[in-house]
Amino acid sequence: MRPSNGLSKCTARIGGYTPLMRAAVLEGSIIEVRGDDSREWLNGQLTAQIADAKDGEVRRGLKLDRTGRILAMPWVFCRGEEFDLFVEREGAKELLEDLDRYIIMEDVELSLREDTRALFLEGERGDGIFARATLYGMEGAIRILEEGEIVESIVQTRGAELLDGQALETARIRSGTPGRPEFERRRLLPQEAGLKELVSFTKGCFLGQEPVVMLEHRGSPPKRLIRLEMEPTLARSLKSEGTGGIKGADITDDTGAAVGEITSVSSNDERGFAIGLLRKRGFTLDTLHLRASEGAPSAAVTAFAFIGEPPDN
Amino acid sequence: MSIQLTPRAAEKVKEIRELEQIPEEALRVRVLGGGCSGFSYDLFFEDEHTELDQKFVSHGVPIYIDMMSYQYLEGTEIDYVEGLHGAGFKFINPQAQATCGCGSSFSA
Repeated sequence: MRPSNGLSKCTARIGGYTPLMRAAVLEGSIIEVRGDDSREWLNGQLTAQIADAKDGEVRRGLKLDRTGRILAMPWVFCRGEEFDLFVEREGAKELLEDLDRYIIMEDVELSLREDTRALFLEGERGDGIFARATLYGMEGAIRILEEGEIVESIVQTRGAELLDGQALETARIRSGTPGRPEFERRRLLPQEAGLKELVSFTKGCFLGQEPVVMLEHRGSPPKRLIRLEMEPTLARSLKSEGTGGIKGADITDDTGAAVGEITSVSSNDERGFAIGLLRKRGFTLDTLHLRASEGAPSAAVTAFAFIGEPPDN
Repeated sequence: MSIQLTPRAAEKVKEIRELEQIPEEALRVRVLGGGCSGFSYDLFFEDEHTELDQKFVSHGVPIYIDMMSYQYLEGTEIDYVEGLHGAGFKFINPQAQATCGCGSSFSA
């Protein structure tokens, strides 16, 4: 698998050959979960099945609030009967406080280790040090980096290309993986975010389960995330140069009525990618349009796709 | 305020104790972190308590509650209901902001 041309300005040619694998450093914080009741307690706090997680494995789950809305999407590293939740730095303290509310008399203690990093290597196999994982559509493995570890030497040894922040964000949006811009303030249920595969419907109770299961039986999520692909000039025009935030851009239907908004956008030299939120149900992709702000280049959105399963409507 | 059993719940507790041949044990009531609404109720028989437990007697049934759980259970009445959808102990908790459909989990 070759990386696309615009992925990174940090491409390192090793021995004259283009690297075949990509590497990424994720910056975050770790919520350490310790105590004899850690496994059972954590299984009731996250959507993923944790009860049978083995030492050295990593699982991806969702932390929901009691109404079933996504608060975070932690990586769960299993260390025997102890667990490390690798989460984004922003919001980590608030997440720990939220988790701590649900410890009553259980033998569970939480602590926060800030400013940590994880290394993902595409194509790497889980070997007890690295754990098999998928990141933004890339198959590989991930591990927590020790303090002071030099990433570049690890990456170069494997002949991989280290993605910079821009390239990593582009990979995220291109793969249609929701992140903090989608979760923050949007109050999404897992089915609305296309993350149903991170929910175990057979493991028993977890926080926020009831609304999720009710929606699963009823169908027709009221909101949906979609992925858009477009000319890079259009994608770049959607970002505010000052803040990096999204300029006003509506997703509209055939009548011109706004039915959604753009939540994330990025681009490489060849293509632009965006994630958007449809606020209403009942649309087919061929009836959607993007209305960018005034002054945006006249460029077409070439593809819309639902993130996750397409709706039943 | 205390924790109360309804007469029906107290009779059921005594009946179960007799069946399990532990007629002198108390009912421990506690809250666990977990369940679909955030917290869940737990009931079991126990003959030990600590100085930090809250102790009550309701219709002849001694009840023990740990200090942490009591914060969430103060003023609760425990009933026993039987119906087409099953039978079990039901918690009427004035501190619960919401309760799940089956009644075993609540938010506070």
